[in-house]
Amino acid sequence: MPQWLHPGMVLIAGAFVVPFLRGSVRQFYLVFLTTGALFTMTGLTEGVYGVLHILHEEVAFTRVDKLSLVFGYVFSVAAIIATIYSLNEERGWHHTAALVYAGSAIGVVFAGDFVTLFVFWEFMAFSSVFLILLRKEEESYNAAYRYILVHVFGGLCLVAGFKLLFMETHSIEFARIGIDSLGGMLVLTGFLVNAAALPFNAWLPDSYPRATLGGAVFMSVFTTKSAVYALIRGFEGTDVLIWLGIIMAVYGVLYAMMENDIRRVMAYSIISQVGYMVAGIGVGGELAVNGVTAHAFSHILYKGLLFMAAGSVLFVTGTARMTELGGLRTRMPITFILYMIGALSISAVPLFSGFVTKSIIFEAVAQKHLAYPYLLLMLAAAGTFLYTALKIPYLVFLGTEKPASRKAHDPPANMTMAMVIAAGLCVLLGLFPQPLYGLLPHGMDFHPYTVDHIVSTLSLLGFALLGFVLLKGRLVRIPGINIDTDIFYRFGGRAFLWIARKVFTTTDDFVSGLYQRVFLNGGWLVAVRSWRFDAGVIDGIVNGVANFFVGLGQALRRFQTGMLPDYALSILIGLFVILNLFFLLF
Amino acid sequence: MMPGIKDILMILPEIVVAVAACVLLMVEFLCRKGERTIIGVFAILTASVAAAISLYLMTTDYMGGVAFSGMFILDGYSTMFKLIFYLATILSIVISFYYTREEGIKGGEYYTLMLFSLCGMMVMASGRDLLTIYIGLELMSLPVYVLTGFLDRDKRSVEGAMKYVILGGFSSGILLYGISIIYGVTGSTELTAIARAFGEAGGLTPVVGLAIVGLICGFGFKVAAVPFHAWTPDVYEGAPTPVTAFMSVGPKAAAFAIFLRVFTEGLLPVYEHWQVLVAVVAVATMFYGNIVAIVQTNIKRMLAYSSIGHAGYALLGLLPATNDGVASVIYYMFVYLFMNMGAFAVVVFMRRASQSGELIEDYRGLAKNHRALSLAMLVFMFSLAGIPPTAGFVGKFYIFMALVDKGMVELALIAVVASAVAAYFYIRVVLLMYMKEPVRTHLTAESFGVGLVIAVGIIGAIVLGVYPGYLIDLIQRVSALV
Amino acid sequence: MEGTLRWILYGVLALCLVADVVVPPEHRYFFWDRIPGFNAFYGFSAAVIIIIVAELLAGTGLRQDEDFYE
Repeated sequence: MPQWLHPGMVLIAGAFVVPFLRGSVRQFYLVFLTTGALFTMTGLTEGVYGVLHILHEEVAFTRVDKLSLVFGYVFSVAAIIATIYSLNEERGWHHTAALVYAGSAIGVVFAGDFVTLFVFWEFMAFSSVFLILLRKEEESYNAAYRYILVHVFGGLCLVAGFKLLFMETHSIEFARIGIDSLGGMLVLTGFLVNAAALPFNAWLPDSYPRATLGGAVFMSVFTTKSAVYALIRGFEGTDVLIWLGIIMAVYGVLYAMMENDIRRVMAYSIISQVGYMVAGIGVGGELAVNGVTAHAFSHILYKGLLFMAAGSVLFVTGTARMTELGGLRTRMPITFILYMIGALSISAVPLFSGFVTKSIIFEAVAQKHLAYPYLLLMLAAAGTFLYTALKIPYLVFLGTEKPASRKAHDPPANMTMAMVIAAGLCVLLGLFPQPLYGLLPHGMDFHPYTVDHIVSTLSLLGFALLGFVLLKGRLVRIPGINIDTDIFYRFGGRAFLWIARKVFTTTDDFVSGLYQRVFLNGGWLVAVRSWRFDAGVIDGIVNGVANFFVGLGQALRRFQTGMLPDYALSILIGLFVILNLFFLLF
Repeated sequence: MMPGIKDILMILPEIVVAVAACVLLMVEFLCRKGERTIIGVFAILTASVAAAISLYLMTTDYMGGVAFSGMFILDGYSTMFKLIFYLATILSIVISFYYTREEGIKGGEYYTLMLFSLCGMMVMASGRDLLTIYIGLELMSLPVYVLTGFLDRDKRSVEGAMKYVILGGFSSGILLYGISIIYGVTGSTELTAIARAFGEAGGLTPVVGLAIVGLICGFGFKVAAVPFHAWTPDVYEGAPTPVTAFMSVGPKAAAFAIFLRVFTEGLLPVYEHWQVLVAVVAVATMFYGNIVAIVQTNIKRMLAYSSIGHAGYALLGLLPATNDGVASVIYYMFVYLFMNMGAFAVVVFMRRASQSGELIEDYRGLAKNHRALSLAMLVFMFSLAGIPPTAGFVGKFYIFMALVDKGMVELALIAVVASAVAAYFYIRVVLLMYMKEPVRTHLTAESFGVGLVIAVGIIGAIVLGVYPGYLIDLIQRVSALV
Repeated sequence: MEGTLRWILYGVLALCLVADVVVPPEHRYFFWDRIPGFNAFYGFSAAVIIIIVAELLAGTGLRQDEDFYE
């Protein structure tokens, strides 16, 4: 019996109320709900709760332990910050989608068995796709379509894997899995899709920059980090992940250096940082797991901050392309400072959050004497510093103003406030890491602020800065996008369709014409486009239903005649009816 | 077995309240004209002392013991309910101070009547014998009938009291009829004996069916379940608002206390027979209450129908007949205490001079100039609607979990739909306050007491919404019935 | 302004280099921990490598127009 309250359910239930509120009431409620969810989180104690017995299996709806709690906390905090950032979003259903998404991520984290995990996993996918759709631009519709296909694929891998595992072990408990079985490998694939690991990474830079401003902030937090959590829980110590993580880290850095759209840079940055986490999971052991968890915690905060800053730039200037921006430092000073705090945090500069968290992973890798991984991760760290703290500020905030920059100003108060909160937390974490260390799953005796560590970090970054200064003329400044692993399925699909058309040309004209209309002329895409969750459609349905109940109410109230004998009669009639019901049944 | 000192100690809280009420009745003559507040203050003191004694008794060995040959039981279940009663009484009296002044209600017996009603409720919660329960029921109800008609110049008040008395007597009669049948069939009116008798008996005779239905009618009337609810809107609207607040929380909780105990302890062996009936009543109650509330223009009437709707949810908690279900109903009563008291306190706060505060239209644009008050009402409305992160959501959630655990998922889903319908009229009030322009200046009470009750309500509605753990844990530990 | 900034930068870097040489590393996990100034050297090379490689990769055709797929 619940002595607990699932914070994810609180968010999901509350999410559906939002579209019916307006104005300041809605804004107040959004903050109230997300803050309330955080407080609910603090009331959770370790244990397994809400065990439902469905179909002879134990479905453990809520499993609370140190690992899931720390993720739960940072998810709730992130939900508050991202909601404050999107307070100026007028469309109620956007908030609903975002909160269902956040609540489902919390649901994933507290899931104790495969069924619960899978249900919330799918919820996350289907709610987050709205955050892309609601951007309502042509490319967003297409990106949303690809997004949902990729995630459905990931979900299929998951469910197939779970099924195989269940057939072997007859247990649906979500614990250590390992890749020694086909089922395990499939589940790993499913998790890796959400974690945006190569080669399943392309959906991230494809979709995040095409989501709404607030939506991208939400998305940067929940999908990848809940996948990280799942990987920790199920695949700790799987060696192949070390190399996969390193590839992700370096790949992300290189691609980020090449990109022109700030939000695409950030997307590849996510891949890079998640690479650190994946590598850490591969290393395994208490210190590594602590490091991954801590890194995920601080990453959520500074990546959210960076996305918020990028979103602010996009909001006020109308573009996020570095080739079209410059000199924003004078017009958006506050945003600039807050951005830099995020940039310094991700670069693991002392006094900021990244310094006290990324170093744990490094230490864990070093203790296992993994030389090449260590070196490559160091390379990636330098690279991160380069593109986040150097290249972007250099091209966007410093330098000369371009036409788009003239429109810039610091963004609305709610966006700034959200960034301030995130930045404040980054700094606080950097200065006082102990509270976070206390939340980590394993006990740990780690002291990040040693002279040696500070000096080596400053040297690494300082000389990287030197390299940047000397070579800044050779920075890639080409507008456009990178070709990523999605080329296979984007062109592959097209190639397949081309072959199919050639083969089927011999058939009836009507059939091929239909085929063309549906698949080739983008008719399918039109269908997706017209599947809009417009305020108009929902309002129409809601009004219709509401009118029905109002009419019913008007009709029923006539029973309340005010006449005493009528009331007494109603009691007698009621008695009679119930009596008859009784005799009918027995 | 002769009653001994142990028995007296176990019913000490009831004795305190009853004696104090009698004393206060006479004290009024000693008071100067217009000094009636002092009686109210003493009433609050009495309730507090009784509460302290009850809590103390919880820590002693008397817990779980029966007194007076098994007619009275002192257990965690009854103590939890008594806590609700004490709080309801105290909070109602606090808002009464302002209201009686404003409405010109004279007569210190107002507070004394509340104390008598409190005593009746306490007897009901601890009753282990159908007759004891019945006596408690009457002791609780009669003062409430009188209190309903206290606004003797208001036609609605007097009319409401009349209807309440007559219909109350009517349903009381049916209840007694049911009790007598049970006595005839089982040979006892004591709950455990009844349960034993039903357990041994093989089949079920139609006569027992009559009895069960009679009990459902009698208890259902007090709980305001459909179709025994007809008195509720008129009585709630007519009675003085603090009395409405009182009766919507205290007597209703007491009615649930006996409903739960009789059906879960006494009638458990015939569970399959009453389960469907109660389910039907619960669903009808939920929907009827929520749907008709939509078209109300008087906020007290709206809250009356809302009360009916909530009784429906609480009745659902009766169905699993598990300790989880019982605990969820008790928790719901606590939650309901805070949010309903708070809402009515706001209504009282809006009662000033010519502004009655009873029309929903009176709240138009309230947020413009009265931020705190409208915020308070927002919290209460959201909590009544069951919107997270308030206590109302948690209360419903626990009931749903108790249902789902016993496999009654469809009922939980039906309740969710009913909540969605209800949300409409609660949110409508909130939007009216915040999104519309005020058409007149709002007058509000200048009363510390009413403001205090509102504050208490908010604290309860929010704390129980984000930290339910402590209270639900306590309830579960002490109130096992099966 | 640009000039003084540069000199400050060089000053700090020199300090770092000195410190890196002087301060003994805590854990000698790897062979390079014993090399003084390794972090500085590595940071510089890493930056250079990354920028150059990025430039090269961008030239190979990995970068395309935004509507490449349409």
